[in-house]
Amino acid sequence: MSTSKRTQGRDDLPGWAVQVLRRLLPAYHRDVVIGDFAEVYRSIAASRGRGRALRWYWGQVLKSTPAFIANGLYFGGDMVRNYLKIALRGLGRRKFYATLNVGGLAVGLAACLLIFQYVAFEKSYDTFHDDHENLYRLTITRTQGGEVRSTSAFSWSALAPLLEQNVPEVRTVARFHPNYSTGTIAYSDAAGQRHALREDGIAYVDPAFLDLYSFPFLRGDPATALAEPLALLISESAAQRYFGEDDPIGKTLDVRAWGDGAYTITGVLADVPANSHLQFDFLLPLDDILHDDHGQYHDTDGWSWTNFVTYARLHPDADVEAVERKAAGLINEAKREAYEEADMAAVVALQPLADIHLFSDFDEDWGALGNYKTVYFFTLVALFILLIAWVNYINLSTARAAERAKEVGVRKVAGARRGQVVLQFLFESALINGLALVLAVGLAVLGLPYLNELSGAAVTPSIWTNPWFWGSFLGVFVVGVVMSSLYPAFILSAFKPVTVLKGRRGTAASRQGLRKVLVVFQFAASIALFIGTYAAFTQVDYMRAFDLGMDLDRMLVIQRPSIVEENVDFVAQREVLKAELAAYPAITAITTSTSVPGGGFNLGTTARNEGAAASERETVHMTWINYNFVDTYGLQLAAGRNFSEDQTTDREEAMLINETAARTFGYASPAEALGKRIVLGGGSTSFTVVGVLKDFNWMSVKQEVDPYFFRPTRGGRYYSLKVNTANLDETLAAIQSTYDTVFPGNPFDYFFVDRFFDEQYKADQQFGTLFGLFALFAVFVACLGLVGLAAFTAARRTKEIGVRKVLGASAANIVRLLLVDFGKLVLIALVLTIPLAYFALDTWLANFAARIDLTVWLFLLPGLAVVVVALLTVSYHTSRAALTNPADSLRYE
Amino acid sequence: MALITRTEEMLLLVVCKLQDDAFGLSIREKAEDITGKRYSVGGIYVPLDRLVRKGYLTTEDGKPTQERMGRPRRLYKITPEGLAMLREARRVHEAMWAALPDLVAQQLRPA
Repeated sequence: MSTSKRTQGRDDLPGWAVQVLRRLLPAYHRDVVIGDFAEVYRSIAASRGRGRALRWYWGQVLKSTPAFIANGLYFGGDMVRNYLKIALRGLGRRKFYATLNVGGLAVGLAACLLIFQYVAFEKSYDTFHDDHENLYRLTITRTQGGEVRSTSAFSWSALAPLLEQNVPEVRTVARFHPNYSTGTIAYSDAAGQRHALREDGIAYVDPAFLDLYSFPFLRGDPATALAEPLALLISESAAQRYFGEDDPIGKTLDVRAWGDGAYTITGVLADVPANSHLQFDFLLPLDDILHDDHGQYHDTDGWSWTNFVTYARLHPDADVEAVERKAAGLINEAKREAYEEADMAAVVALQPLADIHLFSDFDEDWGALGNYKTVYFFTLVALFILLIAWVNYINLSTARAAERAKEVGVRKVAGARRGQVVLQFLFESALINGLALVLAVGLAVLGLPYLNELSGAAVTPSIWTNPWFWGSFLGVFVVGVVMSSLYPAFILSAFKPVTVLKGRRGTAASRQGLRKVLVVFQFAASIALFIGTYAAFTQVDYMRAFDLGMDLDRMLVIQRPSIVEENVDFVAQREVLKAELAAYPAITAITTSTSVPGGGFNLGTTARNEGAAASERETVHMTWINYNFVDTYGLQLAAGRNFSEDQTTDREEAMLINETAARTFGYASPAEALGKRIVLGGGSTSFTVVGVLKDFNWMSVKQEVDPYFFRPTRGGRYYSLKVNTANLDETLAAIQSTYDTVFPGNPFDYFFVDRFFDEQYKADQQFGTLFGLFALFAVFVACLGLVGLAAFTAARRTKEIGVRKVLGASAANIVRLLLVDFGKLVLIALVLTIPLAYFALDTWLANFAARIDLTVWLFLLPGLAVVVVALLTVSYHTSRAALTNPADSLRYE
Repeated sequence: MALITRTEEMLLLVVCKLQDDAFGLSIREKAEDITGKRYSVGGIYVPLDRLVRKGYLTTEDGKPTQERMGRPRRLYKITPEGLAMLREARRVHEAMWAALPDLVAQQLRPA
């Protein structure tokens, strides 16, 4: 066989896989099996395509691996049997060390597996759609004078049709309208009974949305399901809510959401998977709200409201950057007049679907979003825990090296080559790692539900079928075996038979040095994780306790009824409701608003001082509040006055702003802003500042306070009731019965604003909890190693301790002697960790507008906690050694 | 003489059936056809090696071809010892199955 012939046929084969095979195969079979693989590969490639063949090749390599290894061992069978016997005997005789070794590795690996599951789940977002590689979300960055003003995942409704007509690379485009995806949906059953529920998964989409995405249909036809007006797609569980086991197709639901109407169900979708950034229960035709004569959009050209998320499928060969440029061109052309005046421009970026969940950082966004930093961070934590567990193995086996010295000596005298000794220890390591891995999988399966509960992530066990997950799993095992055994194997195999058989030990001192370094590393990592956890919790507590500048205490919120009969005067009824509620002694105040603290703003727009150029517009947030809102929520005025119902002009003209807004618009003091007029948006509508509110946090204190504008209203979606919580159940029942009487047929639900506000810190809270859990894992595993080392040291120094006691040392002296040894290491770890932790925390806290100070205690408290735990861990073996009667310990001489 | 395992027996028979065409892939396919059990491409060599070591099979490398990236096929042939082993295995089988009580034999008849 000639070389050229060999290389000729290889070009289309997966070279890397061939190499793996070559490594795995025993020399005897190498050529034959590689040939077998090539032959089958060719035939699959010819009949079913190269991709299939490639997948087959890799699958077979993985599946064959255990057999190859077994085969390889079979040839060296006798020696392997001997290794196994020795290893098992060693484990059996030294049950204590075996338990520490296997247990430590198992716990470490289990923690690692759980983290991998979480990571694999986070990475799996949106990848279940067919053809997801060609799906993109259109995002927009607005610049002014060349500088970035805002970034957004939302765009205009007029953009999608233009893309479809003018950009040939765009195959399908669909808009998604999620804004205020809440509403009330009611169903009247056969008996005439009405069931109304408040829903928060209502989205309006183009019919093409169903073509773009592969959300599976249980009933109905994706091609026609949303083609007609007033058609409705419902999720399986939502259908269950309304109809139980009855067939939902053809049933009519009364929808009060962005648009109102009687919608007929045309299809049922399987529930949206947890790893989808798009979450919804109801899909309605977007055209219904675009062309609604009474709606917000009917009177526009489609270039004023940016409430639409645009998704597109590109041609597989499309040049993404070219499409981005074309899309930006279309926008800048359509909005040329306004943009030129304000020196603005739009830049378009197409975000691949699979990137949306982890890599979105837009000023305006929507959907289930995560953060790649968290994912990377936990990967790092997993790595730390693994290293700590492997270090245990290394330390315990090198510490015990002396015990194995004789065995190695005899093996070598009997003719073992060094390579064989190394192989033996590799084998032992594989055995222990394998045992630990089996245990770890068990632990991970048991632990998964708890992980889900703590993290709030719905990591499903379906991750067990994820190839990425298994790949990392296999990698961890192989790296683990090699990492944890290479050094001990190297040390042990280097023993000189003459020296060890004469009864002398090898070079113990230098190995002790390495052991110490490794222990320092273990504890440095554990302490770092502990400090991080402590800081994360402190930060969350700090944010929760932060003085927001308003009073959210005992503030109960109910929502405006969305179902009002045609002949009812809503405004009159609303005032009836307010009056009746106010009559309860338990309710001390009532106010209304279009949003509540923690719930966002109603309008994000730009504004400028009257008379200023269009290019000097600033981004502001607007909300409408009732006349008594300022008092009810305890907001403070820095200057001017609150809205007044007596001032007839207030309703049309007045505006409250916050101090930040006053500063942003160039007023040196709040008082200076009073009476000034500010123009909203691109038009000429302007309002007069009647008062400036002291800065307060309408949203999470993670963010800086932005310029806030408030306009007066008598209504609004939210009714805030200041309640006396003494007899809460009674009060709630009374509120509900009044609500049901005044607005019958509406669902009644409520929430407390303080808790609602704190929901914003949920992600940080979960991060802290997960972090803490894994920090505990790390410390636990590190302490297991310390127990082993302490037991070993105590045993090794038995004679020394005996002599010391005979010479008059007290038990306390001995304990101190031994503890200082370990204590020193842990303290060094603490000292080394603090600067690193300081730097890391400082970087992390930079994400928070309101952040804790980095005090000494933030580092010392968790650090010392770990030191104490470590000392307690070693104290058992240490004190046992110290209490031994020297008559016993010296008797064996 | 120690008996061979079921798998080994089956593989010896497959090699016999394939005559001059018994190599890793064809053996794997045939074995799958007969038993419905799946072997990985590499996995099939483990029991084959065992049979070679026990002396029931011999091997001979065929000609390298281009579609096999210039690698040879390894052809397997049964040895006289292998045949003797099969004969023995068959004898044991038949002895085991012979003279069953009628009732049991009826129940065991192929469906």
